[in-house]
Amino acid sequence: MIEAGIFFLLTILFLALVRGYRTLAVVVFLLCFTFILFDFLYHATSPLSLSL
Amino acid sequence: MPSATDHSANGGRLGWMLPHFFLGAISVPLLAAFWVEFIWQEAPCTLCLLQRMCMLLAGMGPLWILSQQADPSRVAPLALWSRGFGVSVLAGALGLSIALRQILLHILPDDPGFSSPILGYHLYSWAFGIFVLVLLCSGGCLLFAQTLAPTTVGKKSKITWATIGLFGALILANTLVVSYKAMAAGLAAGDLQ
Repeated sequence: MIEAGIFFLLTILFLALVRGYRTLAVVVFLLCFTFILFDFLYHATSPLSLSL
Repeated sequence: MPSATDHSANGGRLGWMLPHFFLGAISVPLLAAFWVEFIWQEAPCTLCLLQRMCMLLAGMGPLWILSQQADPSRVAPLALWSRGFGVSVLAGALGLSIALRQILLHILPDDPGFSSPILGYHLYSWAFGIFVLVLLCSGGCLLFAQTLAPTTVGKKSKITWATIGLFGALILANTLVVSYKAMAAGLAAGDLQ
């Protein structure tokens, strides 16, 4: 579910860039980056990852 | 004797082409990921999706440059160029870490790996190579930012709109597919209870 949320944020980032909302774009970029990083760190420390 | 203006104009042409090429090139593995998912019927894992997100995020850098290039009065060209490729470097470094993590998960002998290989390499190995290229290209563009950053740019061309449109369609398609799957999984889990 969190992945769907991040993709949704990426869509907002795309729209913000195309429409020229630069401040919003920076904020959404930082949010996307943080969420991807924390999702990765969560996954890296989860025992479930060993089943991949 | 060539003047500074001539030099800038040559760099400007290359500077116009590079973000288009970068954005088009990063769209290829994203299209290939859809091919593997829908034609080969192989669903992506969480790490695959995270790598896909990082590729999209890396593409946001050139998109940033292309989308605001037409109005140099709002942003200084050098600042815009640096910001765009800075975004790509950050996304590339994160994507590289994720791809490396997945490679290490399957590094033991006799491990078949995740998903079918393409031309002998699994998708995460390809992703690793792609992120290395993203970092190298972005680093090179930042190194020669002064020369490459376009200073005089007119309105967005049809090629620019086509490149942005293709990338936007990829983002939207990924969002719809992942959201649909998340909702379907949620409904299925609800039915089981």
